[in-house]
Amino acid sequence: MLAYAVKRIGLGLLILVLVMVAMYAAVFLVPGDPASVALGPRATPELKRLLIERMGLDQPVWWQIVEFFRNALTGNLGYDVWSNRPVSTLVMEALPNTLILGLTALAVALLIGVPLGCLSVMRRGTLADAVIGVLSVGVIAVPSFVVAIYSLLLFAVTLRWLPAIGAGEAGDIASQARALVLPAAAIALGWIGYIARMVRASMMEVMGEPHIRTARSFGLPEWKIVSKYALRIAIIPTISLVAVGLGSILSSAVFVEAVFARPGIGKLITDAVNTRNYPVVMGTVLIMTAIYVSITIAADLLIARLDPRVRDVFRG
Amino acid sequence: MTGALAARDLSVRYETQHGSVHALRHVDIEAHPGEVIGIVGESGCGKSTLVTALANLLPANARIDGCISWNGVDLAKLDAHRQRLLRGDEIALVSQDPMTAFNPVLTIGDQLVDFQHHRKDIGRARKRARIAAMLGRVGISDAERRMQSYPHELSGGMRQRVAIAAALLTDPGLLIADEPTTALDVTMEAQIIHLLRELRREYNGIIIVVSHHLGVIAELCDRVYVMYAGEVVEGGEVDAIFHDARHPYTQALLACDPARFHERLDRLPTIPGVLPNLTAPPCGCVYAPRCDRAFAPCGTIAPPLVKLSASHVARCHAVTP
Repeated sequence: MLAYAVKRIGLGLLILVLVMVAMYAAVFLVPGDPASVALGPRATPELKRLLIERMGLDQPVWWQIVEFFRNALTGNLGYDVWSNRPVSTLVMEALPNTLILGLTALAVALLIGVPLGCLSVMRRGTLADAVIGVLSVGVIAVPSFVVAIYSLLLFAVTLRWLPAIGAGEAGDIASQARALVLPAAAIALGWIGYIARMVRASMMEVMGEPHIRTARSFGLPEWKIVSKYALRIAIIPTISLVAVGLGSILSSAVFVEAVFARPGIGKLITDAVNTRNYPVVMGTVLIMTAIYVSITIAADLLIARLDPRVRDVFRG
Repeated sequence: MTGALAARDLSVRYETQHGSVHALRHVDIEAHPGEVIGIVGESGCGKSTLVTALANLLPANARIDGCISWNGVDLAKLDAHRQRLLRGDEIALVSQDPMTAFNPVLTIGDQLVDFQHHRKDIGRARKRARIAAMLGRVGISDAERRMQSYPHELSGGMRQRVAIAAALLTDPGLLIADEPTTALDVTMEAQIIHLLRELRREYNGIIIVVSHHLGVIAELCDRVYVMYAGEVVEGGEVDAIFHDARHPYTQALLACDPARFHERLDRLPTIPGVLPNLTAPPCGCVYAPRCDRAFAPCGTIAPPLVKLSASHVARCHAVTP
């Protein structure tokens, strides 16, 4: 198990390096000079040179990458070109908002999606199963920003139940929670459908396996068979799906943050790209990739923990 | 707990998109406490459907007619909840393939504790102690360590021992072993048969052993029912069936047993022909199309159950008492 964890973490670090190399290559390959784009057509050559130096763009690309990682290891992700504030501070300010949004959405999706999937299996072939099936496909088909816009119109503008924009008053948990409801629901809705479908599909397969018949032959109650004997196996594909899907949850957070004008990573990265603020883009991408890679590793370790057969494959 | 089991005029059909499959037709069997009953027949003859019906585990598309009397209660008419309460309490099933019979992500100990859930009177520690004792009884050494194991860490023979232990833990009045040795190699098979023989001396409920292996049946059972195409074609004491078989199908089956040939054969003997289509079973004798003794009435009239002795019966036009 330990060797497996070390191997997965090593692989994760390699992915981080590759992503950053690709990012630098993209900046290098994109035509046009970032400094003149950023400063506009009327900038003096003097000013341009200064900006190029500050962004470190006069150095060879490989050197820029080495410097970036050398600094990143000491916790220095560079400085915002415009405000000169450390990128790490900017990211750390924005990150909690996005993580709270993404994780709340995910938790809601799991808490509703998994039981719905189980219910579908226990009532298979009935009206309840059919309704859950149709609704699942329905909510998967609607993009989260559409849900965001319409729920904003309905609950914030027309009914005035919930705030329309922002992340709530600082220090006021109740107001922050109220501000979280609509954006989290917008992201979670589609995922409830995904997870319910996924759980139902893998559960149906597991329920046909002989060991379920064994559990039945000992007269175990159906809820126990579903929740203990089948779910522990059937949840595994869902964990993989959710881990991979977290990337897409975080990217839908970008849209949803835009709709609800919530401060967060999404807003940070959109603004940075628009102003060619490369240090901020690079720093943010590094942190997001690191989060994504850690979640994938955590999911793999969780699967190994749930399924002894997977554990043994990596033990040898 | 002990009691008598009897199936009377039991028929089971599966409703499918291609029509009804009459998997079991007008089956009569009975068993008394202390008896070991064998059910033998080729693949698809309905033996699994029969024991699945006895264990109340038929799938949702199965329709059941007739009566299964267990201690005076008709199992066929019980609601799902009452059926579930009997399963794993009075009736236990050792299923066919030990390789897939256990949940792969739960430990053996965890599953065997759960399987004793009908025993509300004893706690978890007591249940674990019962498991350890029972695993020892079925010949598993270092039981404590085996309880921590996952199924894939055990060999096939060991898993089948665990499956038998699991069934015995529930102290059932009816123990059904569905092809208990089919998935095992010859050495393991011999060991499991030995184990079952040991058990029958101390056990006073009913044991039903299903097999297509005549040797297994001959070694373990007191009485045998021979099944063909969803019907019981012959039944009687083991000696009567193996030495005085009267139904042409039983005779053909015995003639094909590889154990009877001591010299090497290039081709093993077979019964010519195939099983009838069970969506539309023939109106006469089910075996008539393959039978070398078939005559006029066999194709049109269902043969009567001919009583040959106190316990020996055969369903055939050609046999006479």
